[in-house]
Amino acid sequence: MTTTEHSAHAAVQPEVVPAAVPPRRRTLQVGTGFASACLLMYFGALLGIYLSERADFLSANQGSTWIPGGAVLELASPTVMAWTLLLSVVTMQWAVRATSQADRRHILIALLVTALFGVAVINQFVFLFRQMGLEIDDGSVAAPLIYTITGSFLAFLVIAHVFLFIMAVRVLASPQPNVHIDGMSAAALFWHSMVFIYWVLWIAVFVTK
Amino acid sequence: MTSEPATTQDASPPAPPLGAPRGLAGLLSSGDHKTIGRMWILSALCFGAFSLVCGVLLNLERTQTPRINVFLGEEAYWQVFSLYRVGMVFLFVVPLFLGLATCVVPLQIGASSTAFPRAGAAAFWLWLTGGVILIAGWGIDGGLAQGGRQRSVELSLLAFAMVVVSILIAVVVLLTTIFTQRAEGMSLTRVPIFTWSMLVSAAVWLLSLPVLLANLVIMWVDLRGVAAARYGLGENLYEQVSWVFEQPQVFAFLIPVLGIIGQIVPLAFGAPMRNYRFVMVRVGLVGAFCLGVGLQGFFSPNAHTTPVFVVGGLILAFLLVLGPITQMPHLIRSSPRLPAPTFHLVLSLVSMALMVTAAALAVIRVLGGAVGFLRSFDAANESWQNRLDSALSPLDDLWGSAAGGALLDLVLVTAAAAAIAGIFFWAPKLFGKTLARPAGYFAPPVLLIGGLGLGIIGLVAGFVGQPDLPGRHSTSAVAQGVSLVSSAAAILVLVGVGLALMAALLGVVALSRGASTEANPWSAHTLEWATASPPVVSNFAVAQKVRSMTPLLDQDPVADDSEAAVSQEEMS
Repeated sequence: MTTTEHSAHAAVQPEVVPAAVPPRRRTLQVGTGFASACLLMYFGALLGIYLSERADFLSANQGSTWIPGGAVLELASPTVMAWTLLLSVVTMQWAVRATSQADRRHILIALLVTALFGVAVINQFVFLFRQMGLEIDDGSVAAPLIYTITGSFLAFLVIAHVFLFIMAVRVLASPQPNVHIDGMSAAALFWHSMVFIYWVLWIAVFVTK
Repeated sequence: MTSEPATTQDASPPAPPLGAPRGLAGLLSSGDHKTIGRMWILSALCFGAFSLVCGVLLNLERTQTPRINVFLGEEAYWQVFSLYRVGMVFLFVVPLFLGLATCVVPLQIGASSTAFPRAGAAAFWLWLTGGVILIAGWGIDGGLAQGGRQRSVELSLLAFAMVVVSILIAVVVLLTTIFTQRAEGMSLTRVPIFTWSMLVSAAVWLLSLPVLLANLVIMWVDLRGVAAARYGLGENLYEQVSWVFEQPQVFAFLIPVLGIIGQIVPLAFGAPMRNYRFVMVRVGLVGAFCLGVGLQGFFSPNAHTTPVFVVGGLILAFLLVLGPITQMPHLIRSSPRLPAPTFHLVLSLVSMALMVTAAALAVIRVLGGAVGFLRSFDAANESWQNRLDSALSPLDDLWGSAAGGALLDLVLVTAAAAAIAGIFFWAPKLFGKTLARPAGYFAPPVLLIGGLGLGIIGLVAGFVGQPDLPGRHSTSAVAQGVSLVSSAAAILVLVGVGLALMAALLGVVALSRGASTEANPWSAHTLEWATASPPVVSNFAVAQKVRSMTPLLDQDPVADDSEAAVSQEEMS
């Protein structure tokens, strides 16, 4: 390289610029992942205790039923809930994809449909509680366990709705919705965990009774 | 790479940003991980002192001396018994480690803060509120014992659940911090051993505490009815959560001890830890074998006689003593450069001695489970059972005896000693000064003697037939005598924790008066020592880049110092 070339090269050297901003870390997703692991362990414990107690009860009381007399645990409503929640997985992913593409209209539609599915499940749960006629005070071991499991699920489903709402506000109010992809993915992760838990719960409590 | 430790950043003591609230408002609204960590530590030490007073009273009651009639009835005794255990674990040891980790881990990984600072603050305040309600609930005839008022018991269960949830939030914050906030170049294999041990502990707590929460919610729901069916019955309350205080789950509270010892002892001996990856794997395996969520005595009474329990228990004990065995010869051959003062080193060695004793006690108890396992081979064969009786019955009887409580006490004192060692070691970062000397001189011996006393005497009490779960009536005069010695040991532990509390309080007072000290008084090599003591508001004046496990040996002192100085000027 000649001296002239060298000086020309030096002349086009860009000015010293600040260091690049490091890429966003998926903090919210990782945190939600840990919270979801916590949730899975919680419901895992509830269902483990439920199945263990049911097995002990049935082996100690041959011929009797686990669900106390007079109570009816129908399968139709819980099955509809299972499929409703499964559909909400699709709409939730639709919201995530729309967020990554900064498509406000689709984000809004997808989140509304997801929330609608969730509210429908809550509504069906309330209907189920009224319909099944299971008294918590009847002295049976089954009643407190069933109410604990289903009640806990309902409580966490409400929390999932709140999480969804907060993310919806953040994403839709932001001039750049795709910046909040981490938060929307985190909300989706939590939602999917809830759907997975419901499917396990559906099989353990309602299908196998 | 230079052999000398790099010059560390020196900075004036941290001052809150202009306009930031000060005093109580500053504390209440603070999201600074160091402030929150200090609050965890101080509150945990206060709760610990309270729980230990309960422990002393329980031991005195067990002596059954007519003049010492501490409690008004057996129910009150049960209530204080459960309060002592719950308090020692969930209001003392776990929060103490969480506080230390909240303060130190972000510094060790080069982060400017924790991942969710407000969630971290919320966790602390929720825990503090839950802890106070928990104790108040016990005070109004609640607790995890029969005979309590139903509404008070419900309150106690809710408060306990609140404490567990807050610990889980803190654990999620800690784990997310470790996974997402590490400095450039700080891979998981380069994190200091304390951070790694907290990562493993937090993972174990994350997986096991939700199970405890499930237990509590089931009890609460059952109690909400007119009459409890099974789970909310007074005599079943403590039984359902007792697995947390039993082998192997109880060792989950020992995992951070491995990290603190691993951080302090090799540094003091001037001999870097050998086979670091192997040590990391060992700590991880300890965590894996600690998970005892499936071994709930209430739902499966013979869980302790299963091969999984016996083999797992033996491996766990082996893993615990493996560290001292493998590292000690290397340390002895080294040329120690003992720190002055040596308090944190002595406390670490005390903790190590107590941990080895706990592992030995655990093996003895696991052998008791093995006897039960052998019995199950041929339950109908009378001669086989007789032969087992004659040869191994003392071990068999040990299960459910006071030896269980002794193991718990020993583990908790080990954890307390290690946590106090950590507080002394990281005091320059926590309080901007080294801690008061009287606490350093007296805490190690009293904790050692107290811990060993509780452990060994408890084992003897188990052999002479003292039951673990409280009955007011000791089975023999020997058991009563043993309880008297246990009382003295518990008092010693109380003194040790009290001294640490006083030292920490003095540290906080000094910090509030603007104390600051040398950035790296122990010539350590991990990243927390690269910043001022106490650290600046965002921990480091410049973003850290890590190239090895010993960042302070890698730094270019000249370049980094000039960069830091420029940054300090900009900040000021």
